[in-house]
Parts: sequence; C-alpha cells; structure tokens
Amino acid sequence: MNSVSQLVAALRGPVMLIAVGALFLLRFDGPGWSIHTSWPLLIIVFGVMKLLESVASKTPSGTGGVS
Amino acid sequence: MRRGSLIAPLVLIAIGALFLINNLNPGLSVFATAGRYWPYILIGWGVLRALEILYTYQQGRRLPTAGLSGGEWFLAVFLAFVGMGITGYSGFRDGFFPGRITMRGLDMFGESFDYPLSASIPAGDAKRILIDNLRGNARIVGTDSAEVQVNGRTTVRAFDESDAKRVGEQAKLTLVSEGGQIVLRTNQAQVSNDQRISSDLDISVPKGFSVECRGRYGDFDISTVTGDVDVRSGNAGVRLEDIGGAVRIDLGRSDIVRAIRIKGSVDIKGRGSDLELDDVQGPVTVLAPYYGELQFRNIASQMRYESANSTILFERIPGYVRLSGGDLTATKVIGPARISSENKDVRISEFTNSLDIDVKRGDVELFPGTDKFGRISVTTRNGDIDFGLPAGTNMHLQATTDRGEIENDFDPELKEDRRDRGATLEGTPGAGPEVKLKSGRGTITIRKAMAGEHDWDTSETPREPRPTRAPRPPVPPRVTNQ
Repeated sequence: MNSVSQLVAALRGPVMLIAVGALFLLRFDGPGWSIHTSWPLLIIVFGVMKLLESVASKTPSGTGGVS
Repeated sequence: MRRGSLIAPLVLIAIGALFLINNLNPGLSVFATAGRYWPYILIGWGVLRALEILYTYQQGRRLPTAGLSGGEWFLAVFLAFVGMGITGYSGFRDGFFPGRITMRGLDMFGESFDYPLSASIPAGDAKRILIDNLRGNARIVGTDSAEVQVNGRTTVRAFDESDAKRVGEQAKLTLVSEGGQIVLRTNQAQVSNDQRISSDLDISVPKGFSVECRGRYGDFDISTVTGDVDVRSGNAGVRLEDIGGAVRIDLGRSDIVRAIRIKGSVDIKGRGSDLELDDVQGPVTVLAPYYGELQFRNIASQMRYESANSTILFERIPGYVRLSGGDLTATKVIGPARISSENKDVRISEFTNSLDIDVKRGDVELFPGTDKFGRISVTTRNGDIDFGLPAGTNMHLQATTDRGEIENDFDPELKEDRRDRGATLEGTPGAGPEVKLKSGRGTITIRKAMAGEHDWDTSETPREPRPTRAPRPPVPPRVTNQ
C-alpha cells in the first residue's frame, strides 16, 4: 500500500530537519557560513525532495505498486 | 504527538538537564559546549525519525503522510531559537545575531569584578607595538614620551569573587620587548571560559610607532601615530585619526569604521555596517560588503570599493561620495570613474573626466556642471536617466531607450527617432566627448542645468519624489504537508 513517492514524502520532514541542523553547524565546521547566508539551501533541499517525490510517483515502484 | 515517538520528550529532558547542570556547576562551561554542539540534536532527531519511517516502510505498515507533525516542527523551531540564544550567550565569534548579543548575554549572568591594569616599558629600539587583546576595547594614542604605557582594567564576570580572582590571575597582562617590537598581551586565551573576561586598555606609545592590533571582540581607537596601523578582529568598531602610515583593517564584522586624516593608503576587508573615510592621501581599497552608510570625502588618490554585486571606482574624490541604502550620491569627483551595480540609484554632479555607469536596476542622474567631462557611458537595464548640462556644451550624444521615451529640452537640433516602443536621440552640437546613454526600460531626459545646482551635500536633502515602482509579484505560498 505504500508507494516510493509516499516514502519520499514522509522522509521530507526529517531530511529538512537534518538540513537545518547541518546549516547551523556550517557556522563552526564548514566554511563559516551563518544561517543568514546559507538559508536558501533549505529551499533547494525542499525542492529536491519535491522533485524526487514527483519522479518516484511516475515510476512504478517495486514494493508498493502504483499509487 | 504520535504514539511511538520518544524524540520530543527526550529533547525537552535534555534542555532541562542542561540548564540544571549549568546552574549547579557555575564553573563548567556547559553552555559553551551546548552552544557549539546543539545543532547535532536537530540532526540526530532527523536521522532517528528517518530511520523510524524507513522501518515502518519496510514492515509494510502505513506511512504517516508527513514525516514531522506541526507540533514537532514547532518544537524544532523552539529548539533552534534556544540554541541560537545559547550560542550567542556563550560568546562565539559574532554569534548568530548581528550586533552585540554576546555582551548582552554576558551581562545577564553573574556579577562583574574589576581589576585595574597598569604596566610600562621603555620603547628602546622598538618601532612598533603588537596588541593582542581578545575581548575589550583599546585606545592607543601616540605621545612624545619614549615609553609605552598601559592603563586599564580587566572585567571578570563570575558567580562569586574567588572564581573571579582565579580567572583574573590566569589572565595577567604582559608587556615585553620581543624581536624589535613591543608585545602587549592580555592573555585571556589562558582562561578556559574566555567569554567571561574582557580588558579595556588605554595605551600610549611613542609617536613614531606602528600599531598592530588583534582581537576577537572590542573596539579600537587609534590616534596620532606616524607609523602603519594594522587591525585584525572578529568584531570591532575601528576609529582612526591622524595616522602617518598605511592602514590595514581586516574585520569579521564591524558596526563602524572611521578613518580621518590618513597619510598612507587604506585597505579595508571584511563585513560591516558604516564606513567613513575623510581626508586620505593614499589609495583607498574596500573589499567588503558594507550594509550601512558609506562616506568618502577628500580622497586624494584612487578609491575602489568592491562587494559581491557592486564595483565603484573613482580616480580622486575632492568632494564626496556617499552610499546609503540603494543610493550612490557623489559631488565633485574626478574620473576615470566606474560604477557597476545590481541595484542602485546613482546621482553624480560636478565630475570631470570619463564616467562609466552600468546598473541593472536603478535611475541615473548626471549633472557634470561644466564641459570638462570626458567620455560618458551610462547603461541601466531598468530605470530612468536624467542628464543635465550647461547650455551649449559640445559633445557627441547618442541616447537610446528600448522601451520608453526621450525628452529633449537641451537642443532642438538633436535628432529624435521613435521606433517600436523605444526611442533614440542622436546629434553632435559641437565636437566633444562621446556620451552614450542607454536604458532598457525607462525615460531619458536631456536638459540644461547650471553648475552648483545639484549639490546633495547634506544627507537630509529633499529629493523629488519619484513614482514608485510596481512591487514584485508575491511568491505563491507552498503547502508543506498535504
């Protein structure tokens, strides 16, 4: 009953959360960007997740069938 | 909250425990650690939740429609705010917030204890001084005396006096002569909790000295030295007056840089807010985005300002150049001058020699005042051009707007040609420099204007109101969870 696209949709929240945490860390460990600079990456991550979702919904998935 | 998710309560417990541990052990730098590593909580949370979802998927059970509920997002945002606050409090270089949050955070906790500082050393052969003061302000003045003298105080924030004393003793001021230079250190780095200590210094040096300052947070105020000045800091306001040598300033962040009466060159790097340079003999280079108000006055050599989306170059500035908000205003400047920017309204009056302006979006007003100007090239992709010059000025004019009108109040002999939705105006009232005005979309006005008519030398100059541009269309809102 679960399609890959549903899986991607459900993973979007956690992935965004990881991205937010990572951006805050960039402050210290990365190139020194602060969240003021790097926030557009969050939009990109969000867009990529949405894209994956729509790609996944068009490809028939092995485990879950077609949504 | 959904059944089976233990993460939210765990986060709350962790925050509570953190505050409790900190309150019970004031000496421990729990906050410094938390301020550094809290983003891992968000990452850990995200990873755990992702694993939960993958597990559910593998088991073939029904997946939640959203990976994180609204309530959990709220908690994540709350956590981020608490985290940023702790980071600011524990005094990481310039924190997450602009301005002085670190100091404010510091002042909220504990009590402050002051210890006086005092030291002096004969200058001997040394010709320069290195000042290494992580936190605190320093004022350096050149005097006629042949010795270096330091007075000031160290402020320690602590929960009790014995704690403060211990910190104060670890951070002793040292003033030594080392390899031909005098070295002044406040040794705050010796203290584990360097955010709890700062030293304000009043230093007098022999006039001929060069000064090098290093710090992380605090202002530098340097005056009447004839040598070079070099300031490097994470976050500092810098005020310089009467400096005989070259000035180099490299700041992570700054609320103000002001330099007055500098004989040598001025090089400024870093991010900042306000910048004021007045009476500089040498060339001026600013490689930095400054977001506040920038003023350049009486610059006797070339001035160059470069940020990610602007380049501004003047050969000399006997008058002034001011950048504020999205505007550049200049009067009495000498070219060759070049201004290229994404988004700027440019107004220049009384300029000589050539001028090259290229803006993506912005209006341009030019009033040379005399006929001593050279080749002029103005391009704005979206904006009006207003060009006013004394009657009878000789030039070879070529004005084009792709979409808009051209108003000619200067010379009826100029040939106007309308086509499509744009227009061109061409002509040579008399042999003279080439003037090219080009607007992608906007009105071009050529008219007569007298010298001295356009001096915007006060910041409060009333400006004719312009029709406001249409705002950009709003971005449609996105729905995160369907």
